[in-house]
Parts: sequence; structure tokens; C-alpha cells
Amino acid sequence: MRLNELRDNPGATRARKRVGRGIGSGKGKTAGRGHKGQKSRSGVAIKGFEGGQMPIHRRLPKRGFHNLFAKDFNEVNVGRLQAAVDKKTLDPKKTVTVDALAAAGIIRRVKDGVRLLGQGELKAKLNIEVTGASAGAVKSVEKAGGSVTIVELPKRASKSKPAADEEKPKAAADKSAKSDSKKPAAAKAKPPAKTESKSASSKAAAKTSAKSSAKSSAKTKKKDS
Amino acid sequence: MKADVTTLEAKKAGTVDLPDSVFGLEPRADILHRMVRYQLAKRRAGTVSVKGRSEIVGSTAKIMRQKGSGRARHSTRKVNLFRGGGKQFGPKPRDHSISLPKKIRALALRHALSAKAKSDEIVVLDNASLKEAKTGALRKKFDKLGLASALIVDGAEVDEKFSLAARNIVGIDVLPVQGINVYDILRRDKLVLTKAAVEALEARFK
Repeated sequence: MRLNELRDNPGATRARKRVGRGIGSGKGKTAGRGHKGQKSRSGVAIKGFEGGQMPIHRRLPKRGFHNLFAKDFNEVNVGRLQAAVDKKTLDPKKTVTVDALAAAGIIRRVKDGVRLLGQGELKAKLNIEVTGASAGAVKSVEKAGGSVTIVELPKRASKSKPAADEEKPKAAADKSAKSDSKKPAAAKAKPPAKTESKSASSKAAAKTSAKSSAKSSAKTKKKDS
Repeated sequence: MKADVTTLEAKKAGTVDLPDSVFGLEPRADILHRMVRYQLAKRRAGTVSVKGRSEIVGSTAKIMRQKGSGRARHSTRKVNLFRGGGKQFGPKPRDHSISLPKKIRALALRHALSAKAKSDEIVVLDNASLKEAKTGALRKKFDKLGLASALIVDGAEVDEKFSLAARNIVGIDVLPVQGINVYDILRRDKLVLTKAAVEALEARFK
């Protein structure tokens, strides 16, 4: 195959429409814009105008609202977990954390947390730590012999206030855990959901304090939960 | 796919395996066409530039009065219909490159290699190195091998004497394997790979 034998597939490109280039072109005089008036000029967009009648976007009442505090979760079905286990991207022996899911490519980008849903079939025994789970998902995980732990994820943005004094050691542990976050099994000390609802995000807290000692204490706390 | 290996002296030197995943595809002209278009568009410098009416240096005075002269009405000398005036909608420096997905680009190289393999235009050399950088001597060797128009691809490092000897021979291009590309392959009749190049390509597309 030489350079002169190359060609794209027929229909892969379409010729540009050249308007206003004479009668023979079929798009000559008015160039497809009709005759005169506002709409034949450039830069005009009369959007939603209905000839003076009250347009529909003003005729109907306003409705609904936007919840600023709505949580946007990554949704993961149990069938997807099984597929990942089958493909050996997910290690069933380790605890399945949010980081592990991200590392396995099940989640592309961690949003406000992961909610486990029940679609599909799960055969592997998995210990799962996620932000939320549907009843069906919990059922199918436990049927396979695994367990589901609900943990609270830190907030996405680092705007939240620094941690209170008593939480500082835990925050430091968070930082040290983050440094080896590649290993999903590493204890990523997250505050349990029930006990501390307003615990600050680990990211923000980690910035404020940098104590390395308290990793072990955080681990024990986690066991308590 | 098996291919015979020859030396620069046109002697046989065993065979080498060309993997089918790289050399055994059914070549697609459309993919190669897009890749060549991509390469040629990307290499354009895009530096052409002419001045518009506003960029021409000169007087802004009206050259004749609006009415009464008996001639056509005109504004300044810089208008595009005068000699020395600006160019209307002239070319300006810009990037001509078009985008093509990386996977398509990688595929195109495999298709180019396969196209050469399919038409039996691949020659595998055991090595491409010379003791002396002599163009005349190398040219005789190429004549013996039947190489008039060829791209020669060596391993990661090209023998300096070889590239010096080959660089003034018309129709012969020499590239290290990291520089192999679709356009240069298709431009020449033959594709000459050294054993090192075959290995490197195999590793690259693994």
C-alpha cells in the first residue's frame, strides 16, 4: 500500500456548505435565510419568544429547588464487584474499601461516597466498607458469607473547619494513612457514622496537624466501631 | 509469520518471527489515510501571515472627496482593493494539527507494518553497522539487496557510521526504532528492519 492508494471510507467526511456563492450553488442570494427581517441577520437568537403571547417559560409557575447539601454517591452494584473479583482486579481477601474500589477501576472518581446496590449476583465472600448500602445489597453480601460495614466518608472539599483538639491524633493518623493510601487495606481511620456526625474531613484536618504518633490509637478506635 | 534474515552482504542468516498481532493485520486504507493526514497536518509550522487592513502602516486620510470628483468614492490607501493595501481574510499563524485518538495512531502503525508485510516488502537485516563510513560501498550493498527506495529502521541506537554512509543516498531513509512512523514507512517501497528493531516493535505492542 502506497501513499497514493490511501483513502478514507466513503462518507467519512462531508463537504462544507458554501453559502452565498451564486445562483448555481442553490444557496446563492439569501444563503438559506429567507428574506429580510430580524431572523435573517447575524447574531440574532429570539429564544422562547412566541409572538407576544406569554411564552411557556413564563406562563408556568416556578417549581422545585436545588439542594445544596445533596450527596452525590458513586453507585456500585454487587454484580460489578463479582465481575472485578473474577477479573482479579479486586482482591477478595482484603477489606473492600472505597480506595480499593477506585484502585480496581470500579469507581472512576470518588464523589461523596459509595453506595452499594443489589443488582447482580455475588458469589465471593467480601468484607466491604462503604458509605451506604441498600438492603438487597447487604442481603446478597451476607448470603455469600461477607459483611458490610457502613463508614462515613470525609467531605470532598477541604473547606470544613479544622478538627477539634481531641480529634487531632486521629487526624494525624489519617495523614499517615493517606501517605500509603495505595494499599487499600491500610487502616484508613475514618470516623464511624453514628458516633461523630460532625467530624471534620480528614483532608482538612490532616493539613492542620502533623503528628505521627497516633496511628495505633486510631486503629484501636476503629476496632471499637 | 516467519521472515528470512539477511546480512548486509545479502547472505542468509536464519529466520525471525514477525508477530501476527503487529505484522499480520489486514491493512485498512482509511486508518492509514487518517494517520498520514494527521502527521502531515501536525508537521506544518503554521507561520504564514499577511497583514490586514488595520495592520498596514500608512495614512488614514481619505484620498479624495466623497462627491464631485467624477470618480468612484474611496476612503484610504490601505483598503484591500488597492495595490499595497491589506489582505481581506488573509492567513494568520495557527495550529493546523488535527486530533486522532492515541489508540488509532498506535493501530495505524501496526496497519502500516502489516501492509508492508502483506505485499512482501519487509526486509529483515541481522544488523545495520559498518566498519567504515563509506557511501559508495554501502550503495553497492543496497544495490545487491535490491534496495532503491527504502526506510531502514534500526534499534534504539543507529550505528553512526551506517547513518553517515547512508544519509546521502537518494531514496534511503534511516531511523531509530523510536522514530518509526506511518508516513515514512508508506513513502518508501521497502521497509528494512534490523533484528533489534523487530524486537523493539514486538515489545512496544505487547
